[in-house]
Amino acid sequence: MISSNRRRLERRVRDEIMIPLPDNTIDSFAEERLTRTFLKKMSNLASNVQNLTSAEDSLKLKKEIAAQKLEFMYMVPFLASARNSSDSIQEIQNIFATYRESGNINLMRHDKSESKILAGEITEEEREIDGYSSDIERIKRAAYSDTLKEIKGNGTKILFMQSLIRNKIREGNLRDLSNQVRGDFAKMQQLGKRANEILQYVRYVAFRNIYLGVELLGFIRNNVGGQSLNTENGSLNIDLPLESHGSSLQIASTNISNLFDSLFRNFSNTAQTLSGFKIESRKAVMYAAIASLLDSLNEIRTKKIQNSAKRQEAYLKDLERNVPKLEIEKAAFLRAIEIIKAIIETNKGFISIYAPLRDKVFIEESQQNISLQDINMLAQAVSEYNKISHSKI
Amino acid sequence: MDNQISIKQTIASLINSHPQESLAVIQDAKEFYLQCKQMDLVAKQSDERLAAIAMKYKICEDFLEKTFGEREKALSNDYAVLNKAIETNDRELIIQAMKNISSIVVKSPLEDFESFVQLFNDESKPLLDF
Repeated sequence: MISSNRRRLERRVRDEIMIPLPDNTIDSFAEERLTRTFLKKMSNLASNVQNLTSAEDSLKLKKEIAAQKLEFMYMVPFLASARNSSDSIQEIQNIFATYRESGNINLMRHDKSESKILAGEITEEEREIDGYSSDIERIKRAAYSDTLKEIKGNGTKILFMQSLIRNKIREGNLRDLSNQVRGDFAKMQQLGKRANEILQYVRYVAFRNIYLGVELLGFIRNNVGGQSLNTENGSLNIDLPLESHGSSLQIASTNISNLFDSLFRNFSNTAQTLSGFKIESRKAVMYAAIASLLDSLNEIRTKKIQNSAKRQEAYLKDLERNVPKLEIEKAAFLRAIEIIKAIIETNKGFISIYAPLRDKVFIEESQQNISLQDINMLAQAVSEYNKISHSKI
Repeated sequence: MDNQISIKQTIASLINSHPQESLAVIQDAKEFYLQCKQMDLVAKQSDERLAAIAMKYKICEDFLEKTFGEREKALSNDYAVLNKAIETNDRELIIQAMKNISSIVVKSPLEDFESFVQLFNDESKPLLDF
């Protein structure tokens, strides 16, 4: 019942207000209440528009409607898209607090990195992602190939004990390698979670900015229209999709930025640790020889051999299972970084086209200077940005 | 030579004096020998499995290196063009660079990779189907 009411509310927002609210956005009683209030407010504003005769008053009211929509977007859909990303929630709260304090809705149309982007400076997100480039190189490098070949456990020839000695060394090597791979897999999973969190954040930014782009295009189309647009060549297509990415992502709940660094450091130690097998092997031969000799004289030797075989089989199965899993995890991480970087870069392109137009419409109120080419550029920028931000891992 | 004769004589004397115990020792030695042979066989089989894991690992690493390396190279070039276009406020070039980036990024290289890894792990299917 609760769920169907919420879905009905979402449909009303989509149909009546023309906000493409993604399914399952409304997820709490507070959001339900906010949406009902918003719908009521929008209904009142819409009826007021019809009563206005002056173009100036009409434009003012339409701006008010756009502002109400934007406020609602921040309070419900943007927040919903950022549900599992602490970075995004923090940013939304900051923007909202600044808006509440100043009452200036245009502050909500600013990207926090805008001034840096327009000045050609490196943004925070770029710096963070660039910081991982050397670690990514290390991750790409092979670390197990040689060890997997070296694990045979060649021992010295000590009469009939050779097989037992080899067996002992092999078991130790297999155990160590299996533990290493298992550990690295766990580390990669944590790295993946952190990458997912960053991805969640940049996708929230993209979702918000694409909304702002579509809002601006819609505002120009509905309020400026043909009367003041320069008649340049080109077709106009502003029928753009808008949907949130947030709900489908799995995100780490903890703040693990420090962990991210240390994990990379630990991961890079893997190769060194693995190469230690060769150095340790002489000692291992000695101990294994003694242990094997004793074993062979022991009545439970048979049992031990059987148990060792079982353990080795388990280690092998572990390796067979975890090595491909590690590779998939590694590949997913590299792909996530690729998407993050692409979203960050295209956001810069989008901002550099969006910001001057936004200022003309909402701040300078000099819509007459807007050309069809301006709108076409923005529509294309929104479209490409949208495609990239929806790229799947 | 004398030592060898002496050892043989001692063993013969032991067998004569303790026939049952001697038989048990011989039996045990035989079992031990067979167990060693069995261990060597298992070791050989596990070497083959390790070689297969190493090969898969190497192939995966090569795939990641090659695929992401090539994409990264192309994307880095597009990012440089994009940044230059932003700097000079060349909007057409900005859009072109964004289109180039999008043409690479929207296609995930992992769709092929995941099915490749799965197929690699499924010994019931021939790799040629990939």
